[in-house]
This record gives sequence, C-alpha cells and structure tokens, in this order.
Amino acid sequence: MSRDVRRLLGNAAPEVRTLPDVAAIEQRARGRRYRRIAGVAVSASLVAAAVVVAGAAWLGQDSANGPVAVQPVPGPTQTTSPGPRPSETAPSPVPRPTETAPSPASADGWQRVDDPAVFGGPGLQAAAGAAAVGEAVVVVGVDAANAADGQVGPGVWLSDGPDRWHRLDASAIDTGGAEFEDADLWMRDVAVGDDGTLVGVGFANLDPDEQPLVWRSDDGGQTWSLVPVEASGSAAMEAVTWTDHGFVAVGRAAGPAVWTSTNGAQWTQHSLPAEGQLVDVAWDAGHDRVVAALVIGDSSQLWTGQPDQPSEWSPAELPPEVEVASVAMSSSGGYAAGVTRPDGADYDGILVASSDGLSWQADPRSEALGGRGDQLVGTVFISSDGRAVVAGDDDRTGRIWISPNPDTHFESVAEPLFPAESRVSTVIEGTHGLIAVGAAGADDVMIWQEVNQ
Amino acid sequence: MEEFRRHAPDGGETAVDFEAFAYDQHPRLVASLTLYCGDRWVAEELAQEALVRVWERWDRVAAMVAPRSWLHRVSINLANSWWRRRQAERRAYRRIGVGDDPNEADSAEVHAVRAAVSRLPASQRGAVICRYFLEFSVAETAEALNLTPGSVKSATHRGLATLREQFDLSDPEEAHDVP
Repeated sequence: MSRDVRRLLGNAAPEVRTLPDVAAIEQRARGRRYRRIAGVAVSASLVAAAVVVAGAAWLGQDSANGPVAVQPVPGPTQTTSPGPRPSETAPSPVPRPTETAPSPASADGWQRVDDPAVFGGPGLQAAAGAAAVGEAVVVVGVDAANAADGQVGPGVWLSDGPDRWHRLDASAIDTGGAEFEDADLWMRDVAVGDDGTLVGVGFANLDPDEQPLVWRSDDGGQTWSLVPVEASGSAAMEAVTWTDHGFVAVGRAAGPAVWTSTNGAQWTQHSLPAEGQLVDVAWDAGHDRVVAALVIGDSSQLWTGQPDQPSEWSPAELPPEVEVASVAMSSSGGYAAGVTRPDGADYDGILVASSDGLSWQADPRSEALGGRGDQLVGTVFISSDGRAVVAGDDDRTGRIWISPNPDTHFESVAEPLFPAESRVSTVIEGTHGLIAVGAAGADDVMIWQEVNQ
Repeated sequence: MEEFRRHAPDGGETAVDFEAFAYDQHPRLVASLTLYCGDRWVAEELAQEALVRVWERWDRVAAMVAPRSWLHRVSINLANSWWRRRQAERRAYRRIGVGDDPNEADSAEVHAVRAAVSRLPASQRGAVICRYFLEFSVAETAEALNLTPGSVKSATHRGLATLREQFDLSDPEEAHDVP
C-alpha cells in the first residue's frame, strides 16, 4: 500500500523533545562578537558544525569563510574612481578631549584605561586595530553609537597623550549614508603612511554578502572619509599595513584577496591562487616584501612577495594544525602567532619564528602560551627594543605575554588589570611604551598601556 | 510572526522575542536537519548554530515577513558546509572509536528513509524536506533554498521520483502549493 511522502518523512524524522539552550546560544553569539573584534582566526565564525561525541567537539567551517575554488584574477583591477567621494554625511571634527583616569599601575608596570564615558555606551564598542602617529594614538574598531539601533558602525578613539582620550562620533566618520543604512560597518585595522595619511580598512556586512571598506584621514584621524574600493563579488578587508610601496590591505573575496594603494585613495584588487582568507599582513623592510597570513580551514600558510605584485607571491608552509592570526616583522626576522589544537581539545597559543620571512619554525617559547582551557592568541608585535609581545585571551580574561629576547621565556603581564570577559585585539608601541587595545565586560573598549618607569 | 508572539495573561500579545521564536522553531528545525543530514546529533549542533546566527541578527530577522524561511536557509547552508566536511568528521569518529551512525536506536526503516533522503542531491533533498516535512509553500521553499519557484518544483519532482524507486509512495496532496 502506497504511502504519502509526508508520512514517510514524518516517521523518519526524530521526535524532538529537547528545548533550545537559549542561554548557550546567546553566550556563543556574544563570544563570537568578541572573537570577531579580536580577529582571532579560530573564532566561532569558523564553526559550521560541531559534532559532539563524548564531550569532544569537532569544529567545521563556515561556508562563507571556508575553502572555495578560486579563479585567479588575470591581472590587477584598477579602481575607476579618481579619489575620495564626497560623503553624504560630511564629516566634521568634533574634538572632545577627556582626561581619563587610568588604574593604578600593576607591579610589572602596566595600567588600564577604561573610562566608560569615552569607551562605553549602549551596544557594542570594541577596538580591533591601532596606530601611533607621533605622540598621538589612533584606535579603530566598532562603535554602536555610530550606527542605527541594533547595528554597529565604525569606531575611532584618539589620544594626544597617555591619559587624554576622546572618541569620534558619526559626524566625524563617513558611514556611507543610505548605501549602508541596514549594514553593520566594521573597521578592522588602521595604518599610517609616511606622509601621515591614515587608512582604516574593514567591511560592510550586507548579509550575506560583504563589501570592503576603506576610510581615509588626512588630519591625524580627526575626520574619516570613505574611499571607493572596487571588489568582485562579496569581499572584506581584515588588515592593512604601510610599506615603502604604499598601503597593502588583505582579506577575503572569492578567495584570499589583496588590495594595494600608493596613497590610500585609489585601490587595486589582486587575488592569490589559493583558497582561504588572508587575516594579517606585515612589511618586511629588510627584504622589501610583505608577509601575509593565510588561513585555510584549520591550517595556515604565510605568503611573501613584493607588495605591488601579489600574483607572484609564494607560500611558506607552517607546522601542521596551526591557525595563524597575526604576523609581525622586524629587521632581524619575524613572528607569526595564532593557535593550535595538537590533541583536538583545547586551543593553545603558538608562536612561529623566522629569520628571513621565508622559512618558519615553531618557537620553543610557545610552551608558555599553552595551559588549561583555551589560550586564544590573536596578535603578535615586535617592539623597537626587540621584545616579542603576544596577546589575546584565555576565554575568560585578556592576556599579554612578553619575551624580552629569543632566549627568555614569555611572561604573562598585567594580569590584575584584566577584568572578566576582556580580550586584547592588538598591540602597538607609542612614545611612552606599549599600548594594547581590545574589549571587555559589557561590550566596552579597553586599553592597557605600559607606564614609564 | 503571530505564532512567535507570547501571549500575556490578559490575552494580549507581547512583542516577538527571540526565546519564543527559538522554542517554537527548534523541534522542526532539528527534525528537518536530521532528515537533511541523516544524523540527529549533527542536526542538534547545526540547529544551535543556526539559532546563534538568528540571535546575532534578531532585530532584522524579527522584522522579516518569513523569518522561519531565513532560519531554514541558514540551517541548510550550514548543513551543506557540514556535508562537505563530512569526511573529516568521519576521521574524528574513528579517532574516538564511534561508528559512522550514532543513531543506533532508530529502526531499520528510519535508517533506510534517512539514507535515501541523504543520497538525494542537495537541492532535491532540501526541496523535498521543505515541501513535505516543513510544509513550506513553493515560495517559502524557494526563499529558504535560494532557488526560483520553478527550480523548486523541478527539484521536488525529481527528488520524489528518486524516492519512489525505493519506497511505494502515493502522489502527495498539493494543498500547500501556494505560490
């Protein structure tokens, strides 16, 4: 006797009596927001399916970020626009310097700056990138105050001294007007050119597509205008650096994508003949080339080459099962940092090192970046005095580890200054020492800075 | 959205909230994903991930005319990603000593139906599940699967034809064929 297909499927489908764990859903979503801000490559954005067997999670990969077939772009595509477009909401300087009261210094010489009036507010505020411009520091990220209710917009915080911070509101940052009315706008990184031009990169989340965004500031970060960036299909920028050849930004399109610009106003898109996405880029001045971190699923490569010739970049292999989140270069070599799960359980931080930018090996100092629970290393920085600085979070609080030289193990610093749910997104060096930026607690920006000894 | 509104004690309705939406959609979401993937545990995780994505965009999803179509579109995209990585997951199962099919308590026919559905091409599998398990209209199915209505009808027809090769199926009533 024949049956109806509805009955056939209904009998084969399970009777689901379990309720959704709404608290866990909310927790995962909130954690993802932080991860995305931090730029940690292991973020939950890579999770598509976690098959839970005997308590062990097996992570899959998001279709939007996962490996896809890439058609190499035959040549660079020149943007057609002659330069910055006039903003629909003309930015105007709104300087609001505020004396912030940093916390007392920790025993190891750090203090925290977390003035809610400057770094907090309704919705999400979080820092993703930073740059030093002389005495000033520019921190970029997202600020819900610069977007419609329920959305996030670009965020910029400026400092003209260690304890003098202010934030820019939407009148000083071009948010694209009606074009991005319903989109989340993410500013992910910032770089400064040799003439003081600042470039912030990120993307508009048009759901499901993304559109790369470049903001340019010619006045030290007081005002920011969107610059047209041509992209083929869905694309997003994640990181930017200044080189002797101009700006180089990296991110994702149909595969890993590179954008170059000599002045921050006209951008040319390139692609790499690879899968995955580029998550960071650094300038290796000693060898006149860039090093870019590529993530493919749960593995990574470092691509190197001339900044203006991405089609000729070549990959360098890394130890297996290393997801690189950040790369930093100096005159004496470089580091890439990220996470690894050698036993398939918790994430450990890992540092790989290179003397020439071409050959990379696991750094034995990585041992200090492991530990109980997830150690989510998201950024690496090399200070002018040669210290290796690694930062991120341990899934509970922010962490900064510093090693003064290759022969000395990493030490975790500033631990008393990290509140619950804090995380460090990036580290730079200002005129008064190291500055770490990130987010904490109820979606607020948080900054940690070295105190002059 | 009416079915997702919570009823207040006085008979009035409160605003749509995420929790009500999640509670309402979760059973059918898990069940349909089980049919789509053939694996209840994977379905539970995919459902959780799909609801995370809804939570992240709740303001906009709540304002949609057909939020459940968006939810199922997300879940099917996630399931397709899972499908592509199934080989890796099988390796994980082997490492921890679990067989390919952890749903051992299910009957032979349940296994057979799920296996037959899982062998359908993705568009046919999605179309059959949306149309005859989730009871979506052609338009809702088209939105959930990002297909044209014509493609939905074609995929549904081909999927049913394939299932008929293994199971004795009558012609489904098309009472829900609202374009």
